[in-house]
Amino acid sequence: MTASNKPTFTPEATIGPFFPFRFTDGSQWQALPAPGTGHRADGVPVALTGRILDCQGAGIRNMIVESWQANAHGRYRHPDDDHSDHQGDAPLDPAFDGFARVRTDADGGFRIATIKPGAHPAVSGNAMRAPHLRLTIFGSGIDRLVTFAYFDDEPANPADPLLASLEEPDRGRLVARRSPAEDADGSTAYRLDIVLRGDAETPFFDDWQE
Amino acid sequence: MTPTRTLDVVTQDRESEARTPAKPLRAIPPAARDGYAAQPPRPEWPGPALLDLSRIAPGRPTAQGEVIEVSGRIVDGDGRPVGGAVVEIWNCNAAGRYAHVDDANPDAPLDPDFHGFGRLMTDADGRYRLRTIRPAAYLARADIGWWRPPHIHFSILGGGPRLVTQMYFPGDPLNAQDPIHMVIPPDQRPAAIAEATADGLVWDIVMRGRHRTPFEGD
Repeated sequence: MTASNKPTFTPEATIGPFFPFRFTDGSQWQALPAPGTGHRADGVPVALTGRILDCQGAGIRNMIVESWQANAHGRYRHPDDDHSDHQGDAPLDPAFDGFARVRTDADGGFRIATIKPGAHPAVSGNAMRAPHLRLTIFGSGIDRLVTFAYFDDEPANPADPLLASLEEPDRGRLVARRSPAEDADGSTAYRLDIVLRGDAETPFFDDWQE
Repeated sequence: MTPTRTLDVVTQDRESEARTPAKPLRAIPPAARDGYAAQPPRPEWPGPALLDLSRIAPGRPTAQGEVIEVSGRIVDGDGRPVGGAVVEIWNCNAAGRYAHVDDANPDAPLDPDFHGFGRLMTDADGRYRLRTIRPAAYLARADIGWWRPPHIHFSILGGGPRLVTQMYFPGDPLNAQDPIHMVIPPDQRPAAIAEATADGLVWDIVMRGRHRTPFEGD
């Protein structure tokens, strides 16, 4: 397969309809420490709720949503985020990994319980990245989709280089709205519906260039 | 900047038609390329060098069908091993049925001795090895006679952008009739097919992304 110097990347494929429940239910892959433990992640508990919708506006069940984010101090749990180019010294949080995986319910709904990530300097230039989650979506019929979720009460949003790369109304399609009616368990809820296809299609991103 | 991709719709797949974004993917501005490839928490591992899905637990009967072994090496685009990656595997049984509540195929019985899913971690050299049952082909859509060829699902986390893919079997005539297989560009299809060797099936995986994959313990 790798006889030539230029490798053929393994092609992606749909995750299909039968992704094992064991890989989402009862998993340790939740952004917050497991219930019943004494650990508390630093930061403000938030919940990102929403629905995943198809071209008809119908909710899609059995979609997998993965979330990845910096901790409350703006640092990713990743060896490459050594903060050598950051102002200050953003620490790792031993109680927070930043990765979560959930499955949509019968109405296409999801809820990711996490903490609001911190803002952090962009990797180049002087801009700050506004608090955001990176969402990766899988489901039967589609390959992997990548998008982002911001928070509508963050003053850092207008200067965020990724948000600034979009025009309205696409920009607003990445911004979760405060949803007090969905506050629960001490968390502040934000709502963002994700439209896979159609007039109000959510912008999705190509991270192969990253 | 490299042009971004527009995702292909799988022909004859109504879910793909209803769900695949119509617009091209957007470029992530260079200043915002700081996702650092998601690092999921490690599962409880290292376990045995071989992930054995052919029986539910040691001492339990072997599942029905042909026991096969699949092994390979996961590397990045520079040929560097992706060590410590979390690999999730799932496949249907020898009758073509998944042990999943959504698979209600009346023509394919469940095998009480087969679950067909598990996790492993690659070793420092990026190698993995698993034993499972050769999955059968199954009828995905009776109305158009769409048979899915035998395949094993793989999901790889930790080492560049997340990869979800399917491994196909060499020489299976159904491969060339499968819309999900045929949506892969022709020059990339061989990379989705395992090689039959004296040591069982061998399937090497090449991940995208520039980020170094941290080894366990980093």
